Amino acid sequence: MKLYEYQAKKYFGENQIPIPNGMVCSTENEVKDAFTHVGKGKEVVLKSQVLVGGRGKSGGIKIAKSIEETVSTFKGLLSQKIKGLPVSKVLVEEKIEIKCEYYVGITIDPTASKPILLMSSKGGMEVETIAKESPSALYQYIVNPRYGVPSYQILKAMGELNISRGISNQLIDVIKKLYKIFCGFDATLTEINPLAESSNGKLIAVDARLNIDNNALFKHPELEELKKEFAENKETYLKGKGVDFVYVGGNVGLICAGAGMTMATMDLVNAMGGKPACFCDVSAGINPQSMELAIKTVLSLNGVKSILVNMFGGLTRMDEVAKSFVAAWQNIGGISLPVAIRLEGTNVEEGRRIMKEHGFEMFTNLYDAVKKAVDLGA
Amino acid sequence: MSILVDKNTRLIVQGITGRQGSFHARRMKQDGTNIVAGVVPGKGGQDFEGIEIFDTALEARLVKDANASIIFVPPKIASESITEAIDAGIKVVVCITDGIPVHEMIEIKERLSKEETWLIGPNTPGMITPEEAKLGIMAIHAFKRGHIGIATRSGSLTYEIAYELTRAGLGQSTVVGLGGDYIKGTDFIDIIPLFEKDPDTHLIVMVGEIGGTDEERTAKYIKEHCSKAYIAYLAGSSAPPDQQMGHAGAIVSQGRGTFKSKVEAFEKVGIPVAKYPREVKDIALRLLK
Repeated sequence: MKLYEYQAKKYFGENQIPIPNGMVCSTENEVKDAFTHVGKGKEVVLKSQVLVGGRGKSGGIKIAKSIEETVSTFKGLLSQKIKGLPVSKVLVEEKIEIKCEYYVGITIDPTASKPILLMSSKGGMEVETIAKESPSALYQYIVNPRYGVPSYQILKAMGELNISRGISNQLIDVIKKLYKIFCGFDATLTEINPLAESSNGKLIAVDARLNIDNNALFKHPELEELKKEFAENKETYLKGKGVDFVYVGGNVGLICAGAGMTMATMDLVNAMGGKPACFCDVSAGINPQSMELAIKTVLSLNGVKSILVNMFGGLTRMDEVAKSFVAAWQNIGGISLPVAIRLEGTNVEEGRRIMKEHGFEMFTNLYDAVKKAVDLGA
Repeated sequence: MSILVDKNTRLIVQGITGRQGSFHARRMKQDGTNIVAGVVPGKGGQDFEGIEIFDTALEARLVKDANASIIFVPPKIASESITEAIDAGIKVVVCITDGIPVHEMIEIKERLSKEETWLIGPNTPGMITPEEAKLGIMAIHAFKRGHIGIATRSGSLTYEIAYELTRAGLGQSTVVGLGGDYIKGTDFIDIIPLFEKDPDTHLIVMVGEIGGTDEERTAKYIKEHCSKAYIAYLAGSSAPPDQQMGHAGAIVSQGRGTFKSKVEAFEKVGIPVAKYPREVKDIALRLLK
């Protein structure tokens, strides 16, 4: 579960990491109020709340110097999409005079199977870019979960990154608190970018990211409100119903079973000249309801011209898949999109018979089925 | 021969009376696995279709001389069951459960580094030495006894690839599902040395996917330490970056673990990478000629 900046900042603030004064706004009256109180009637920064990096470059962050400008900027931000994502909330903050920008982040290193602390003297750009363009400006430290992040490691990193010693106490404090948040929230990522040094020498978290492990949400009753919001998200909703779905955006809609198989099918569609519309894995529950949900979801996607069903069943019985598919298809009724189906595995002969009885031709060969779906979608 | 499990495997099933546990215990038994006990706290002394149940894994191991365990318990308590199996001194532990919090896996990994237990999974279909022992949920008809070792991060693709091999007459020594999670008990780099040492394994197939750097590290390891033939297949060439695709592991992050970097790593050390799942079989037939 990814938190919005304003949500993450709330928890950072509660854990005494310095954050700018700010108010999250979704109405005109709220922004007017924010300009007066947060911006002291002089100047504010308006930040679109979207769960995607590179927001500033995409025009999602603006400065306003009057109440009128604040309102018009606010309206502008709401009407605009950031990398395809709509904006419904804007965080209005005081403007920080920045002397220097740093980066600090904590995530999990799958190779070491431990937390990893990332620090850089080049904040303000994405960490991927720092890693690629100036790897020497990125310090990485694998954290021993028994001991956390020791102060001397931070001092060592500051030395290597040529960060002025003047802020060492503040930086140690921020990183230790960030690590506490990382553990306390079962986070997969906590990040401050930029961590700004203001003109009066104070460190302040100008941006904040907090991603929480979906598998650990049950441990966090304090996040109930956020979880509710998260559950309303389309992909989370589908997952709860047994359909693991990610929108990708091509012309061939997929319905598959198993994550690896679904990915491999996407790859094949691509290799044969088509574009997969989605990742859609129904292996968590083969029944008419989840199948219907999967088909409807695929049909609702813009630009889908054909559907490819591909499954290899071990324990999933193909006669069950066929029955569920036919029942779902009949229930939806009147679908004009062409479909290519390939089933293999347990009880496939019975599955084929059921499909045939209802007018669906089935492929025995995966590659012929993919080719057909790609041709139909062209 | 085979790796980790064979006809001498004496298996306990943790969570044998649950919905998944009971269903799969029955199937594993049908498929010829020697299940010696079940473990369900509070149900010690009862039995499940003739299989004795114990309260703890330690009792089950001591009384029944068990050397392997398979775990079918809900995600909230799965890491505790893994710890219990490690504490009981069980050699091979397979955890089928999907959805264990990653911070709990960090602790398990820390623990495993000091123990001799092999943890396979979590979030895996399990492992099978065809015609000897199945510690998992896979349907056995896709597999057949033979000389190809398979290690894989994807359950569904394992069927596709194993079935094609089986139909071409190429059986398997042992097939290990490493699991789809971000942090796993056993990675490619841990399992490869076992296949390398097993005289019955002549060729090893690795089924990987985007995310993590395990494939890259393994390629380097094979170059430096291995002499057998290897084939790789990788899923996720078309996945958009930073999007989680079902498997928690399959996320391309911080510019690492991309499809390209994995293909390059394997090809650089002379390991052929199959473009399609079926090509694995074609390459295997060529290499074994």
